[in-house]
Amino acid sequence: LEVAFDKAMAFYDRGRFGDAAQAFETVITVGRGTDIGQEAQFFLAESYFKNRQYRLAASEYQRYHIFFNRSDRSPDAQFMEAYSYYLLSPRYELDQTDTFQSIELFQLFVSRNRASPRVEEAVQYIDEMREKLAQKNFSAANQYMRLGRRTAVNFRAAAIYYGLTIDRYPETSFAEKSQANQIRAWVYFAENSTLNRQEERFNKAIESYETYVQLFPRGANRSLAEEYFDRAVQGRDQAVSQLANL
Amino acid sequence: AQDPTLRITNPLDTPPRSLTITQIDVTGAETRSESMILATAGLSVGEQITIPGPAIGDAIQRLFRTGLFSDVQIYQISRTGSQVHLEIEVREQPRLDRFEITGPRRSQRRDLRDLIPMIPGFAVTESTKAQSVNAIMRYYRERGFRNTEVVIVERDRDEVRNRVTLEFQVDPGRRIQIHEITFEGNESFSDRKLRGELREIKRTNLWRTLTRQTFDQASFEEAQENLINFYQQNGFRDIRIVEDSVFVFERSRGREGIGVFMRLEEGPQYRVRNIAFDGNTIYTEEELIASLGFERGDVFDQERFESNMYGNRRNNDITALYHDIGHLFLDLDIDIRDAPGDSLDIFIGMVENDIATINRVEFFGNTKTHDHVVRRNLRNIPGGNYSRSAIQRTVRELAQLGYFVPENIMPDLDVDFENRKVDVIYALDETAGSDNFELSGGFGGRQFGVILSARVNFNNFSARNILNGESWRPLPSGDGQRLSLGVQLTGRGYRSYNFSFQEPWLFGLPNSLGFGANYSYFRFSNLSGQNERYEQFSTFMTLGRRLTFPDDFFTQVTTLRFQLFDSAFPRGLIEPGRSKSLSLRLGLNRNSLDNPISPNSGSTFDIGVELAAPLAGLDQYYLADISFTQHVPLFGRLVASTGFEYGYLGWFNDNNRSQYQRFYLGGTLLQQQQTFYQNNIELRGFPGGRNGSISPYLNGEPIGGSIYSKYIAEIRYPAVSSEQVTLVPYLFFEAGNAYADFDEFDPFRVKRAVGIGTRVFLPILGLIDLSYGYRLDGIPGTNVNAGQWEFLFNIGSPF
Repeated sequence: LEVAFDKAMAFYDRGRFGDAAQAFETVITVGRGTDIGQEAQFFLAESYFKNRQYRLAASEYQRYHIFFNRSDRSPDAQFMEAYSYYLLSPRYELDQTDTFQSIELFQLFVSRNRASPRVEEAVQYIDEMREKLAQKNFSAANQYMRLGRRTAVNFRAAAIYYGLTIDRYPETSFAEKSQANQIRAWVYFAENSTLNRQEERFNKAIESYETYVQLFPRGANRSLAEEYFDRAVQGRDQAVSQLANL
Repeated sequence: AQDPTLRITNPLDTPPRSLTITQIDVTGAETRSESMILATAGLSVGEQITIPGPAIGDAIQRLFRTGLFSDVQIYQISRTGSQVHLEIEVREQPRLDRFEITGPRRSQRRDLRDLIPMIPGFAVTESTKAQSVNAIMRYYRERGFRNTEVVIVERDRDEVRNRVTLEFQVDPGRRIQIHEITFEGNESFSDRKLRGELREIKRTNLWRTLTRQTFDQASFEEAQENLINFYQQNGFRDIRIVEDSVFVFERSRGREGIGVFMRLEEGPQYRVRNIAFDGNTIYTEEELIASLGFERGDVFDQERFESNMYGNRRNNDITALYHDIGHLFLDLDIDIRDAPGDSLDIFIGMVENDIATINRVEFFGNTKTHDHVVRRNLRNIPGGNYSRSAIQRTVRELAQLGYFVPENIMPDLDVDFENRKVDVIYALDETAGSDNFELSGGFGGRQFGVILSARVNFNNFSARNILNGESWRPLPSGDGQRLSLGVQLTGRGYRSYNFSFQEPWLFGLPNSLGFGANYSYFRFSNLSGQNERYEQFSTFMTLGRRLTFPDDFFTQVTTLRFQLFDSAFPRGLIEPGRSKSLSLRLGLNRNSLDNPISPNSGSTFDIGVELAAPLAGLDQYYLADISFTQHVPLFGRLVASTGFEYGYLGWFNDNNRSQYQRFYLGGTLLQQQQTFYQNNIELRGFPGGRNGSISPYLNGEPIGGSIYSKYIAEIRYPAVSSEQVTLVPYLFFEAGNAYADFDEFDPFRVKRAVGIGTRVFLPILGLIDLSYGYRLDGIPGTNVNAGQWEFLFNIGSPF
């Protein structure tokens, strides 16, 4: 068993991670329940990781920290499991299942290992991925904004999606932009509505502006917010007076 | 079990005490390390445990769960004060060295090897042995062997390593098939009818010798369900299978067969007496009853009732009526009561509830296709009312993109009842390949030898990621753009290259932009030994707009095209030399096909004008064309298509007339490719291209028409339509003609052909069309005569 393990380690040290993974697999099946088997489990995960097979690596790290919960390497394995998913997480325009998984695992890692020196790193990754998710939401909202030029109900969809970005990812850089753009989305939607629905919808824009001023008094898009706030107030007053004259 | 230390004591008599472990001895371990056993047990020296308490039990359980030990015991060696000395005694399981199967054929042994849940190095326990035997028995039972015997023999016991080799001695026994299915208690239907309705199980008989009618429990249960459904569809609500039995009997001369017997209790056949609704404010009772589709006196068909209530194919069920206008929270309370004379009264109480609005529309599983491509196809818009038909249309349209596996597109709802909101979530599953690769070879006729052509179509391309190295796997993809590259070569002097690109949604709006270029070259020695050479280069740009008026099936397409011809030999009216033209085409088309490969219904309509203005140095012409095809479902899966096509070529004045746009009819794209200097119109039953096109003739040479007509009639039968292959055989009648000018034009003086053919669609290869046509008319002055058959083959041309 020791010989097999040393052979596997030799592959690993020489950078032949594919062969190493295979060799560690054998060591694990034969040496289940031994200290060597435990060691091999960790290096199996490492081999997959270094071979860029992150999905396999993640599941082997997970197996390690579940089986050998008391081991010193368990926190590392937890971190690496989350980190593997982080590396799997694709650009924001694609399915983000792995991103959600990674965030969840990093959060678990942080809460279980508060003292770990890697907590800071984990938090940084979480922030980065949340930024990505926020961007995904934000770009969906922008898409609805563009489609609004063709069919006005898409402006309302845009407002909803800007709102979702703010509610779910308030700490990201997209929150401020979303809040400002939401004002604009409601204004456009109101302007494209029938007269008797306009007041209500301009009011939505005004509410959105008030939230903006509260949350981001010195936001980068303040002037945009002001511009559409003025347009909303004007539009509302006009709608009200027009309705009164009918 | 005969352990001398075993004493039965009432645990309540020994009060739990907290003790410190001073020492743990491990005995019986041979290959396992002591530390591993201690770690697994979770006990350690110095630890405080409660005895009696859960710690010892847990330890034993944990050790057992490893599957490594056949016996685990924990003893208390001594106890002094608050200290305890424990002993863990284990007996290790023998572990598997290897296993063998003897008895069955090699192919079955191979199957069994995969099924047997034994792994070398793992412990051999009674339970893994039993599982193995079960797996073998199950394997044979599914194949109709009901007398299988399995004996496990342990061999080559290696005491030192505690290893063992197992031999599975398998005797599959004889296969037995179903020979008899009988019923009792069936008064309304014959045994024969009921056997047919079982569907899942059948008797073996003379004409079923190819398939084996073996018995398995799952299909037997399904068959019983089918039978019950069949009765319920005929109004027998109370149908019960009172008794069923499956038995083996001796048929003749020692041969066995399986018999299946069912005793039924039919109960009365119910009819509908009254239908009443309560709580409906949006639809009237008459509308709802019409939607339910039952009238007084109708036999009560349980299945039809449920599908018309909750969801039917035509999507006009009662739930759909409400769900399509946002009433997702419709509550139905159905009460079916017996009435005298085997009748039923149906009361449907409903609470319509508020309209649900959509909050989020999300999707996941798009590992290749970008969000915006998916999102632009979603028919549910956040903030709008919930609609079931919008979801269905979305699923259909997502499936048509070809990027996702159609069967795996699953919509799901996340309902927030309190706020009357709902999230719609689509699960997607990216297909392995939305791209296709066409490679074809064919014989181009006596003069041209073998034709080779290769084309790659990337249907989900992403141009903006070309510079992003990470996205090249194997090509940048995900933006739903189409890129197509093609090369065609023949043995003798013909080659053609082309490239095209299309972005279907420019700047996020449903406007398409396309551009492309192609180059063709052809050189050969003609019958008189002269060298002929033709070259063509053309490049185009198109802009398409989806219109919403008159309806949303219309698109308007503008095409700007530059063409350059160079020919070194006079042919027809074409003079040797260079010819350039710049043309602008305005087209309007409407496409309402329900399926692009094998349409069931819908129509296509195109009308266009192409103008090549008489500018300095450019050749001039104008062209107008119109075409229409309509598809109508007949009975069954049969579809009939009819259509017509007309084209007209004219010139603004006498100077610089382009003669390259004249019409020639016949063949398919593959036959026509070497005559790229002509305006070829496809026509089945005629060879086309250089083998004889329909055209006016001048001095024995085809000169091409300035007007053409074409008519199509086709009956199709979509025989196979699965994800892997679509196969559509058809019968066709086609006719068409090309006329020199308006004086000659007679829309009904045409060349006709009838025949059979088939269209095959393979996702990796694209569309293949094979036709075998019989000519009713010949082309005077050529070898193309009436009464001959013509086989035509084409690959890659869309419908």
